[in-house]
Amino acid sequence: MYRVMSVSDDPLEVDLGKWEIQLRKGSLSLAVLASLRNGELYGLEILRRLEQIANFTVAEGTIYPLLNRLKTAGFIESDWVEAEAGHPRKYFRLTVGGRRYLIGLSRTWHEFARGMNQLLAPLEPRVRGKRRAS
Amino acid sequence: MVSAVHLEPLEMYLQTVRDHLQLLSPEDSSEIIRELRSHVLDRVRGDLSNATVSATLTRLGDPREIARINLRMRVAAVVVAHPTPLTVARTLSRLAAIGGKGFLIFILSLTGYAFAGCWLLTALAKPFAPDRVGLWLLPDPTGDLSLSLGRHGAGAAGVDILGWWIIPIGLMVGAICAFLTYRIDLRFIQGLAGSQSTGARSTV
Repeated sequence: MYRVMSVSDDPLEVDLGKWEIQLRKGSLSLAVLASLRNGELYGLEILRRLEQIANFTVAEGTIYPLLNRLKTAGFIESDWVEAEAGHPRKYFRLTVGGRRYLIGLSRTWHEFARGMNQLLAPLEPRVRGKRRAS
Repeated sequence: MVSAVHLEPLEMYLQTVRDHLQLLSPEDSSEIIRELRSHVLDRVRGDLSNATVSATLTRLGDPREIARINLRMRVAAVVVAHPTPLTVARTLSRLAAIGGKGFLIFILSLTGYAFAGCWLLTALAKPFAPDRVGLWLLPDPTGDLSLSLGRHGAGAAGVDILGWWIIPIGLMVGAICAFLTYRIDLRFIQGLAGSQSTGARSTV
């Protein structure tokens, strides 16, 4: 189901690709909740925001099941609105609980990222050099 | 009129999705269809040409797969929000109807609960029929021995190897087995609900 754009036979590259997919998969809920931080959005707007800001490309048909899961969990709510476009749109927004959850996730993310950045800082130039070379 | 003709592929697509959502309530099914229709109309931005609508539907993915993902995740989402044994059992039976791994886990779950139930019932029945209920070591005609849990025929050969210990042991084994089965079911369903990002693609 997952596809990595850069196809490689190198097992190391394949492994790195899988790892990145798992990383993205694990942070998709956080990304979706964060995209709703400043107000309500409809499905396609969420997809575009994820793609433009976070470089997340989500298969279009899977965004609504995820939104439904977040809604069932009480983190977001939605309303159908008659849009200017001539058809109704379903707008999603954070609930109070969802905003609290997002803050908690964000704190955990930053703490984790800070530690990992510190740990990986000495490796950064070498990784870049290697990627450029490949 | 033109738009109606060009929206025909969309309606056919949505009908295929609807056909594969029959395990959901009509309300849930209608909601999914409405979301998808709205999404496609947003994506085409008023360009209802056949090429644009068809390209958008292709981009959306196979309608059967879209239905399957929606169905699986809608069903699983209920358990994630309310992980009670009852909702887990109900959800698993619905997932079994979808087939695949869900059916396998459902069968394993039934086996787990049946095993737990045997131990619990034997333990609970022991005080009412102490001479006929227990864990029996039975000789069979070939000379081998076999174990039998539960009610034993009157006058049949066999040794009750646990005696009254069947009560605490049966309750404990039954409870542990039921709990483990519940945890495995829950983990499986949570895994399904967490697999929402099946379409998340790396852009490296």
